[in-house]
Amino acid sequence: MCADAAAADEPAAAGLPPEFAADLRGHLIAVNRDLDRLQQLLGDACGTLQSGFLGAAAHLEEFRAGPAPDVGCVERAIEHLDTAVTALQVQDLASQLIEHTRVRLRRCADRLARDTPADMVPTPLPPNPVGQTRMGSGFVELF
Amino acid sequence: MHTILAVDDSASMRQMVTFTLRHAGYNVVEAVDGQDALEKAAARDIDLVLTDQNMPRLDGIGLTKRLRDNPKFKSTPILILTTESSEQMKQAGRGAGATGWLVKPFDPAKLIEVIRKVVG
Repeated sequence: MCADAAAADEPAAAGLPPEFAADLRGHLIAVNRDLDRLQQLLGDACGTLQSGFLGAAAHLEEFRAGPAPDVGCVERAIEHLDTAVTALQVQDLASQLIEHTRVRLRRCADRLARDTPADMVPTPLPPNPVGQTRMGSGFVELF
Repeated sequence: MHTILAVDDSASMRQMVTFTLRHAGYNVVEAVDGQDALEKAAARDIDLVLTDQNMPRLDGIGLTKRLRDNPKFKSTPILILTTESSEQMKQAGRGAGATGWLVKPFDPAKLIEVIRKVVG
């Protein structure tokens, strides 16, 4: 679910300075967007893992059942395993995305816990290290 | 046989990189962050460094700078394999002396192709 449309019409949270409320709302929308992306990455990775696993298993079965050893079957099984290697990297991407979200939420909570509006000045958040929306392989550039 | 120093704080990424490189016939030394990589690189001959960017203690760009400051690693290929794809970060890697920038997730065949291009 995307929170952008719902958040746009909401009034500023009661008791909070408008700028602070808007900033807080911006962070929550970003969290929502990052969670959507995380779900997309996990779904993509699981789909690739499943097809890699099933593909490799099918070629190994073909190899076992064949009348003569067919190296081609093993090579095709390895190609399927390679897709699994790409998909398994989701753990690294997901944990970086979760850590970034955790830092964002912690900073929001810290600011809400402060006593006066003057203390509610935002501190810059480091850029999100994960921009990926799919588990397809990334780009390569040699300098 | 070429020896590659694979640096990543994520155990699952190190496992995937090591699996891919060993399968392609390379000898692999693993390090858990930039600092660990510096210590391991000092203790043996390394033909290529494949490093993550965001790591505790010392990141990939910091590691690249420190290695380039050492005459032993002046011309050793250093590839940064990271989730980061911003132009600013990539230029920082280039400025530090990296040989190339690879964005995760990597495709095993493409990774090996790039490594063969830089170390043979």
